[in-house]
Amino acid sequence: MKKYLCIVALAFVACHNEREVRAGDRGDNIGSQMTSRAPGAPPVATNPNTLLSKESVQKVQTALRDRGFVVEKNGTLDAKTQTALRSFQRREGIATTGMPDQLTIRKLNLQPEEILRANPVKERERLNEDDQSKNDYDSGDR
Amino acid sequence: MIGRKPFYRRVWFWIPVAIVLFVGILALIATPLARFGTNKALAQVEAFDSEYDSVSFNLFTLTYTLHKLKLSDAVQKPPVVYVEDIVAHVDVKELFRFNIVGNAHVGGAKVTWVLLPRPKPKETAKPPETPDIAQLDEILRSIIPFKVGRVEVTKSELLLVDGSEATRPKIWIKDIEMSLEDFTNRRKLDEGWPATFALSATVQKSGKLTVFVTADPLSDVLKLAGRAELKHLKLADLHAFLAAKTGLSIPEGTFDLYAGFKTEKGYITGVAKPFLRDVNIEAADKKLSHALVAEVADAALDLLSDDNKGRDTVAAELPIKGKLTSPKPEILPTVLSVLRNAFIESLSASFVHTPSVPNN
Repeated sequence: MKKYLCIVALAFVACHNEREVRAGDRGDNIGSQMTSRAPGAPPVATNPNTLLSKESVQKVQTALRDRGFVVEKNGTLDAKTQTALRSFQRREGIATTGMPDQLTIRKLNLQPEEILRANPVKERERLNEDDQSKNDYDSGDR
Repeated sequence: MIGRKPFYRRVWFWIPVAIVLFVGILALIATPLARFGTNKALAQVEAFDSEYDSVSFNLFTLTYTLHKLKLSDAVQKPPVVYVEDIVAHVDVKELFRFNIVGNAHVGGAKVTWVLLPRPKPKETAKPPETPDIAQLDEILRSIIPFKVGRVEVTKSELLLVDGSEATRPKIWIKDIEMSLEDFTNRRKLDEGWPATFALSATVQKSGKLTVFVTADPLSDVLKLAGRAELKHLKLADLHAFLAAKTGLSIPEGTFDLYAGFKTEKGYITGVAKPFLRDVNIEAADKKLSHALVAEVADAALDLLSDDNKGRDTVAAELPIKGKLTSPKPEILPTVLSVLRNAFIESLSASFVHTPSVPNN
């Protein structure tokens, strides 16, 4: 009896495999997006200059070029890069924002933690400045 | 063999049959239950009449679908809100961990937003408490654990109507494509990821708007950084709006705006760089005051513009400052103040380096 119950329980769990469905089809499917567990996850970019570093944008541009889009590898999210991103997003059936959001980055076979990670050197310097100013702020007037 | 029970009298046969029957019954009643829940939720929205074409719920993928939702009021036609499709999906694995993690897609939404002036509060009335957005983390933690894996809005439109003016000028924002990812109210669910927001839209047929923001809503004080661009907006497309607000008309010229902003210690700071190109200002009506202002403004812009390869460009760099606590989110006044400041600041900044006239 216990053996049969175990078999039934295993079958029940197996049936609940999450299926990935595509977004963009007229209301029928939406993209399933799970964030990956990222050990040492990137700090939140708190400075617009480090939001998308030059190296990150270049990786996105390289990935777009590999897929046949005509973009320059200049490290700037210029109009051509945004247009290429929109075309790619349209092809993949996701929202055509022209911005490298996490789902777009994954569909380019890139790691979001590489692209959305703030420039490590600049961010470390900024964090050190923030810690110092936070100490000053905490000890000073609010 | 003699004495052996037939299979239909064994327990191992009836358990899976019971499970299949149970799941089948749930699947059959899922859609009616979803319809009931939807009607109940829409009934709570008392200000509008609501209707929709169809609703369904797929038990196996935990996907809810709503087609052609309309919210309308008695006065306004077409509907205030129309949505072609809403599809929402809940992650099954996270449900077993007692977390609500879901994705949603909204397609073909058309929203009309009439901005009315706020009524003056009565002197004796207590001022309404506005939530402190800098303490967003406390507000979020008061809600049951949830995580928005990804919400996207596609092929949508927003019509902003300035109800405070007699002519009710409009700003039309179309081709809205938006995504919001990893927005959660529990640290254990965010897995160290920031929430990201991306938006692309067309403003008044010519302006291309893009916005990209990352944020950590669960930090002690809201942390975010972002960038926004509005490019190639033809000022002629804002004729009705500018005429109502300023009495001026700008039949020629384009407006570009580039902005970067971040939060720091409860304040939002950043820089906005507006560019005015080949602007020609006229009076919108026959009033003498408007004609005089138009002449002065047009002459000033001609004086201050940089003649760059035949294009007249006026540029400025405007600091963005604001307090996160008790915000008053009024989009139209904010846009107006940026446009107004673009003129004023560019004029004043250009005059800073003008040599003073010597006294003879």
